[in-house]
Amino acid sequence: MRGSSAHAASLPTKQVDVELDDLQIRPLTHRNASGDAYQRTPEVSHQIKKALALTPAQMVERAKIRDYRSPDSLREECLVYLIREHHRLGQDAIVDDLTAALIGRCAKYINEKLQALGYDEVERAFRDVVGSLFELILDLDDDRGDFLQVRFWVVLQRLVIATFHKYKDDLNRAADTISLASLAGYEGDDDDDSGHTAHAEPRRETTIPIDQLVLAREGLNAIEEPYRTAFILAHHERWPIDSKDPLTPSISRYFGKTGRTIQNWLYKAEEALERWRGQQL
Amino acid sequence: MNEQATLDDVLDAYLASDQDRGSASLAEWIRRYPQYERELTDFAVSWSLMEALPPAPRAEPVDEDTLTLRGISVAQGILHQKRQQRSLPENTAIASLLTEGKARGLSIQALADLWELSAAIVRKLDRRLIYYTSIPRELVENIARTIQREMSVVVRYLQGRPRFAQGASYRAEKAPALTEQEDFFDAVRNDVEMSEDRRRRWLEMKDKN
Repeated sequence: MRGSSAHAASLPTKQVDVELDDLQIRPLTHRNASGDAYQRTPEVSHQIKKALALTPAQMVERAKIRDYRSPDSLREECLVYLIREHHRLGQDAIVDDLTAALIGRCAKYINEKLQALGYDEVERAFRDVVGSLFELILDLDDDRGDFLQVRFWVVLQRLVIATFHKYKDDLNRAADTISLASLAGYEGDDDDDSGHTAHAEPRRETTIPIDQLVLAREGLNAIEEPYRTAFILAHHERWPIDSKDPLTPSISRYFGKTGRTIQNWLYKAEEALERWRGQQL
Repeated sequence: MNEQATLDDVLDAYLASDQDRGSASLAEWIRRYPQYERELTDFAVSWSLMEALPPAPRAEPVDEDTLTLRGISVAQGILHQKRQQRSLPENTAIASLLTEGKARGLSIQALADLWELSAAIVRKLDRRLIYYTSIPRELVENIARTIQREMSVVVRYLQGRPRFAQGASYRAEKAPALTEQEDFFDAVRNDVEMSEDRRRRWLEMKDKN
């Protein structure tokens, strides 16, 4: 492979294409959720073959190109294959350079997605995501990272969300939340076993339209959990509060609370947003 | 639906489907994979929060170069660990199965007998002319035991590119072509050296799987 790279570079284009077509790249072996083996896209397969015909220095230079419109750019899926193969061959210097190039492309994305977690948690979560990513890439005895060579950004998104999930229970510490228990008129949940009595009051209308409440993203930090999550599910994702279908996700089923309790939570979240908005004026 | 699908496979498929995080689309995925109802729901909720929430009030911006260096240091830690493992004797890469056998006083026929194969198939394995994915795990384990290497090392060897026979030399104006790889069980079926007992045993294993 290495010996042929200079030879390939000097041949007329048609002959190089024929030689590239003869290059075999390691097939993916992992099966997707439907039971079918993953397949790289033709573009990625072609890029891998082209890259394998380059010298190491050329390959690393191409890996640093971030403009996807450039014909010499290498997709992230291709970089994953190249890192694995050169790691398999013990070519550590190339692995180091390709690794740096890949991280350079996704570090900002990872960090931005984790910003809700708070300063200390963001850094730890960032390191966890990168760690998970490279455990998948560098585990040569396992094919569970195969989908990285098909849809790199989808897998990275999954890793980011999974890491966010791990850290999200600390969200309250990161936000400046107003404890609703401190608000006048606070009543406990209907199925709260702290001894509060549920009152069958009709739901009061807020003074701000819900769509505006939804748009006030910064205000979400003013709502205590779990009311904030309930609010986001109801108004951002349009989840039903209740559902008769046991397989349809509902907010009440997610929290294991009654629909009435969730209604109260939503009202409290709206109140907190109104108070926040009042403080901004 | 693949009942063996791992949670990660299902989550990848869910994300790749580009569906929204609404209850209806999530319900569809739960119907397809009810064994992962809780995990899918938790995942969708976390995804919603991640996208909806603003940065934490005390979040401080970090420049991209610092982030990249931070990420590189994490990756380098993992690489260092893997490279350390690679240098352990049982993890040393194999140059050739035949060479490893010879180092242990085992001829090619002795290897064939230990692995219940024929010398011809041992040669094919040595030259990586058999598709790795068709090789029974039991055989790979047996090879690892014989040459006293971690299974992962043997796997890596067998997954390598096919090569010419050791010591072969060619006089030709253009490079000779390698024999194509073949399926293990086809090799067993078509091998003229292998005893019928051994052939039957391997082919029965294929039928069972």
